[in-house]
Amino acid sequence: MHMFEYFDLSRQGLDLDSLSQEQVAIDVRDLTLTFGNKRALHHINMQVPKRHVTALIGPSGCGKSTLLSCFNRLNDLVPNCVVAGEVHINGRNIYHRKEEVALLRRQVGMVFQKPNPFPMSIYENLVYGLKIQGIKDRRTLDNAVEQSLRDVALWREVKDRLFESALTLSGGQQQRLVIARAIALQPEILLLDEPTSALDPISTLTIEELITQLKEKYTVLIVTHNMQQAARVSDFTAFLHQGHLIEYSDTDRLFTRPKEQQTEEYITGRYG
Amino acid sequence: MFKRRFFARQKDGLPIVGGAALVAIILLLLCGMVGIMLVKGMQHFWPNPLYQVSYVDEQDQPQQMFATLLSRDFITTRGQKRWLFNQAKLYQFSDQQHLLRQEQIITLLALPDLIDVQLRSGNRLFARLNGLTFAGKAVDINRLPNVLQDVSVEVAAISAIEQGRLAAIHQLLAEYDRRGVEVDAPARVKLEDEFAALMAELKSRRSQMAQFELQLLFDSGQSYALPLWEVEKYQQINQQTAVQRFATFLSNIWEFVSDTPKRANSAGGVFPALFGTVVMVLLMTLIVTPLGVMAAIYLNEYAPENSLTSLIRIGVNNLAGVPSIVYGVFGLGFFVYQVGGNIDKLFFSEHLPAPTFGAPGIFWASLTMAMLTLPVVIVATEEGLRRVPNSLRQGSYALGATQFETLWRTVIPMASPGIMTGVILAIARGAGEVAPLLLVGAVKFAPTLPLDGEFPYLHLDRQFMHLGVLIYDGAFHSNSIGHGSSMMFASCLLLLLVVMTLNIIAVMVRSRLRRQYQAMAGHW
Repeated sequence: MHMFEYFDLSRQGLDLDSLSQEQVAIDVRDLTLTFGNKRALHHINMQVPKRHVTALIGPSGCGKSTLLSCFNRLNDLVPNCVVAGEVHINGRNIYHRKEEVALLRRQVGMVFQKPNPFPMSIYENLVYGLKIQGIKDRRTLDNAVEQSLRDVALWREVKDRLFESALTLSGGQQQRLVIARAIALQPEILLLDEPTSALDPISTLTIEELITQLKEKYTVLIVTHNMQQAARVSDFTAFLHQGHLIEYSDTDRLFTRPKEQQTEEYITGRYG
Repeated sequence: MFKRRFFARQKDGLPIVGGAALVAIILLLLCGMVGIMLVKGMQHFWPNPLYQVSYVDEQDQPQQMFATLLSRDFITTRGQKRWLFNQAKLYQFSDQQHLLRQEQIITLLALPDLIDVQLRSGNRLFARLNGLTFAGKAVDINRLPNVLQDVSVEVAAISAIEQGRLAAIHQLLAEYDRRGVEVDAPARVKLEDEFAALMAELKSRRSQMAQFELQLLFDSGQSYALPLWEVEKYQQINQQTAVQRFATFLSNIWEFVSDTPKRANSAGGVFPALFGTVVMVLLMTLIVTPLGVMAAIYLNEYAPENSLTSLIRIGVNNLAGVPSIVYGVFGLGFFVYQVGGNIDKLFFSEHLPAPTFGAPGIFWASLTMAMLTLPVVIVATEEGLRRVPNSLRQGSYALGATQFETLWRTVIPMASPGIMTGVILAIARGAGEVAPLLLVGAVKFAPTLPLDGEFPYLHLDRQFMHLGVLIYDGAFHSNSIGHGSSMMFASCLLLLLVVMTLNIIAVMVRSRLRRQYQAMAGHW
């Protein structure tokens, strides 16, 4: 019942094969990634549409989280990680040697599997990124805090305790705080790496509702283990298997009429 | 079944009981150590009654002496107890210990008129008080406290004139000499007149003051007139009530922590040593903390994980095991002679051959101790850095922070309790070391403090006194076991207190930081 409601909301009739330049948020061209001598991603080609939710699914170790962290170059931190191919965001190849990684990461926010608020006050958590940019004006910071908390529907819950430690929040609240922390930088793209796998069902539901709202402003990429979740929240879904992009299409079709046999086996639970 | 469980429990019981017993033994040792320091150290401050001891000497001649009793059972040989007495005589540089067999002692009288006099020269003497005279005429003995007070004020006033106006006139006259001013120049004549007038005034005041005399009776039966201005303070212990004795006890403690040492560090106070210890430890902390933290950050955050890094790490760990005297020799050879010598050549060449920084001093001592405690800080900081969860680093990077910003804003604050642990260990080690300090700047007696009101206030080139060195020195006052060594115990107690206080401050800072960054425990 719920499932179908979400389906109805998300259909906008975008065709992945004929996206115009303006409709593409991330353009992945022949991306290959190796850790030492182990190849983790093989010649990935995909275009992520703007202001939609795109889910990456696949069995453990298929490379979906690795692919996600290619988009903000967080895998730069991993020793021995070598990337070949191109990823274009806003018409720039982010793997160009002149790319400023810190600037990129402000445009491409990321949220991790387990909530990781800094051991500071809620307020300090939210302005962390802005302060690093050198913004000191109190009013700007205050506005950013309020706006980002409203965006994640946390404002009402924490507005009276902004200067308490962020660690006093519940797990679900912490995860929304972390999303707000990313939003405060006004990114274009949000990368969510299994954002609900450490949360209880109710918090999960809250976050899922949040994700469907977020796509009005941001391009959202979500990695999930949970196929129901992918079906509920995403407009497009990519299925990865052993570092290969097996199938990438709109969520409806991938879950109801998969083209590839591997996809069908995975979504029906016969594999993975 | 039952039997098996019984034995299983026994097997568990042994390590528990054994462990508990060991912990108890360790605690007992610790308490015993602190207890001995406390008892022996406090003895140094408690006023002992003075006795007139009548005894027969080895030639069976009757003798008497004025002394305090240090122990009724100092040594027992062949069932005979030997009593230890402490004597203080005029013009003797230190107290004398006297050992008597119990059978030699005839009487032990706590005469009320026995007096313990401390002289301005630092000497001390025990005698019977026979009266106070002014120009040979008796003065009411009950006025002694007031008279002594007046005389002390007068002594202070005279020395103020001597060091003030008189010294200034001297300097001016010397200046005139240098410039070749005529002997009969009016300014010079005026100055010389003032000089003569002052000298005459001082002379009359001195002779006036010198007419107060304490009439004393020594244990030899000889009477002696002691000019009162030589007396710094006196105590008639045998007349004191318990409350007065306690007040004396407290004033002795205060004298100990606030006064300068006297009589070759066997009497007086230890203030310069206390001060020197604290200043040296603080300087050391200021040097070692940034160095250690930066080294640890490099090793843990920046250095690639290769064999060179692990070699460095092994080296750092081994540095902690190098004997401290080696650091002392290194400090003397490298810091003092090499670095200090070159600083002198470059910046203080006008003073050469007298060294400025090319001689042992507090800065070199602090630097040497910083080298000595560096491994401790590095290891503890690295431990603290390792405990910062990687997810927080990633979270910071994902918000567009560079590695340095991540370190500065997230990692270092979160590792700060670990850093404080290192600082605590460094303080404990640094405050207690003696051997290296003897080589690079600590001395048995330093006339000046490393920090005073004179520009540039902190004198890094000065030698300093240190409690540990004082204890080491005190341990060699073996010919004056009683007093010198009780001073050593008191210094030990003070050193323990200093280390404890510095540690408690650091622990409080650390627990504050822990509260602030409580994420550490159990956070992913």
